[in-house]
Amino acid sequence: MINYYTRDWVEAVVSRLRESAEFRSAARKLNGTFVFRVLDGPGNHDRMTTWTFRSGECVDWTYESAATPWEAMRTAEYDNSWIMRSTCPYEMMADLNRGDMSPVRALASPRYQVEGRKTMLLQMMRALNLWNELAAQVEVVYDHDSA
Amino acid sequence: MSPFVAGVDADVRTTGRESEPEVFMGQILDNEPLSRTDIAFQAPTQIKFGVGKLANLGEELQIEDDLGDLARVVLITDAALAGLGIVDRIRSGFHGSHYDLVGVFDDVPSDSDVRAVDAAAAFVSENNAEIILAAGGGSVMDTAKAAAVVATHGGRVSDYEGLYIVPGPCIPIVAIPTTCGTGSEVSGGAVIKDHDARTKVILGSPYLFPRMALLDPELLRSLPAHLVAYTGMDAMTHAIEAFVSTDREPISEAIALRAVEMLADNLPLAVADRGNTDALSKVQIAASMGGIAFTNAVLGATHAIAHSIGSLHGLHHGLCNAVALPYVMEYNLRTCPARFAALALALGAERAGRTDAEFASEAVERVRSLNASIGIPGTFEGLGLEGDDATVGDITDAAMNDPCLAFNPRPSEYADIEILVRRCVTGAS
Repeated sequence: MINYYTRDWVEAVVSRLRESAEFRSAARKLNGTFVFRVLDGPGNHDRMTTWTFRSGECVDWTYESAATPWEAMRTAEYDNSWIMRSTCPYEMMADLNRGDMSPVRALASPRYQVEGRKTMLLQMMRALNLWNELAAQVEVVYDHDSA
Repeated sequence: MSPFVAGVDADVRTTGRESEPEVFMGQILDNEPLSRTDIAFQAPTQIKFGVGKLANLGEELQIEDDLGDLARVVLITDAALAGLGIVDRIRSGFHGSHYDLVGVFDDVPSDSDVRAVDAAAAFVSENNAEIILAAGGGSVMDTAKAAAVVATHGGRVSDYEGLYIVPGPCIPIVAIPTTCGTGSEVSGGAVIKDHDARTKVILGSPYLFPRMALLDPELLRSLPAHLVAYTGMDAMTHAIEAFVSTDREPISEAIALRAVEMLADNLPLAVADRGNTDALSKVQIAASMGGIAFTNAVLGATHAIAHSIGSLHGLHHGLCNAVALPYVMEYNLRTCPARFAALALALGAERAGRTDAEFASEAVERVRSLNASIGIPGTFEGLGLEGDDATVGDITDAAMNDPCLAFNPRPSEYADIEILVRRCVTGAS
């Protein structure tokens, strides 16, 4: 099994996104870069991932981590070229991936922050839901020490 | 000095720095930063308002290029309105025009339902309708929107559940609201209940906006006083929640603030006397303004709680909003006091030199007074709910999964909403 929110996990999710015909079909209007900042994760590290899509194809991704608190990442200004950037604690991200927390509950929480083009996000909702479903299908271990 | 400010020195403030121009400073919201740097505003529905406008229905449709060449019209309404003569009034409105009212579907229940949608969609298809008239409240208009989707694109309403799922344009809808709160006549959403599954099917799409909203205050004259109050406060809640939501933007907030003022000034008059045409007219227009505002800026915790109590306890949606609204405003006060101070002004309070923080709570008190003046109880206990842990817990569980909560200005965890719900039910702090 893969450790959740590590480079291996991102690679596994990207593979599924690229292999899923259903996703590519539903996500053909998915364009741009999505940024996720995950704080206070395993190994006492913060993480940041970026996912870039062109017409539904995940054409680029990055994974970085640094000891928490990773101040440079936490205080970095939002880049208006992105579609969105979300920020939340690792535990919340894990709850979302496990299905223990609904996206609505996360969005309402003071611990979850979303910046960016919200109207466009709503228009992309179907593709984003499929992306989440594919990510949740990767078998993972949440309690680990990798970064 | 700029020619634009010459001669009005009393209204000019400067920043004190030589490099910056003199500016006017607003007295309502000052010059607060945009809460969103990315905005997409939609209000595609054409609104036609007029006292007695329904009598000119044929002319109002015929003058429009895209509707003028169509002829076959199906009316979707409910049995109560049919009994009050809506069909005859619409036939009369078409008199002398080429429009043919080929069918009337008057079987929409008071709570829209997926089976009613299926039946209405089949009726629309069988009659080869080219235009759907939706005359009624939110249930009728939402049923008509969903029926238009199914009749145009096939399948069942659940196939189109979610946002941006409807694949293309639908049979055009002319919405004729007979209540003054839902805003459905100008919105791109529809909420349909699945009574068997005890769930709601929520559709949101730019293809759900009615082509036209025809507002005729004559249609509100037969609405009972308590329904004018409930639906009017639904409109008030739309406007206030849109004005303070996390997704607010200047276009919808301008519309929302004026809607709040029009409702505060006219709702008590309209409740007291449905013969007051001016008051009814302004309430009806303000309801559509509230609809435009919330379609773009979304809503908040009042709607999350009202949706939950409405589904669990079968209470009128507008009434639930009205009861919950002052408690949610109070809960949100500290997050955006300047916004609530602006609302207090729109609701008729006197600032009397107070700061935003001091003045903001006046908005809550004005809404409480407005509720009391139109017969809305102060708590849900006054409507028969009990404040026990199980009741509060069930409402909180449902509210925590309502999408509106994500747009409430004050971020919330479960425990926050549980306390808020208990306050709405019992009034206790």
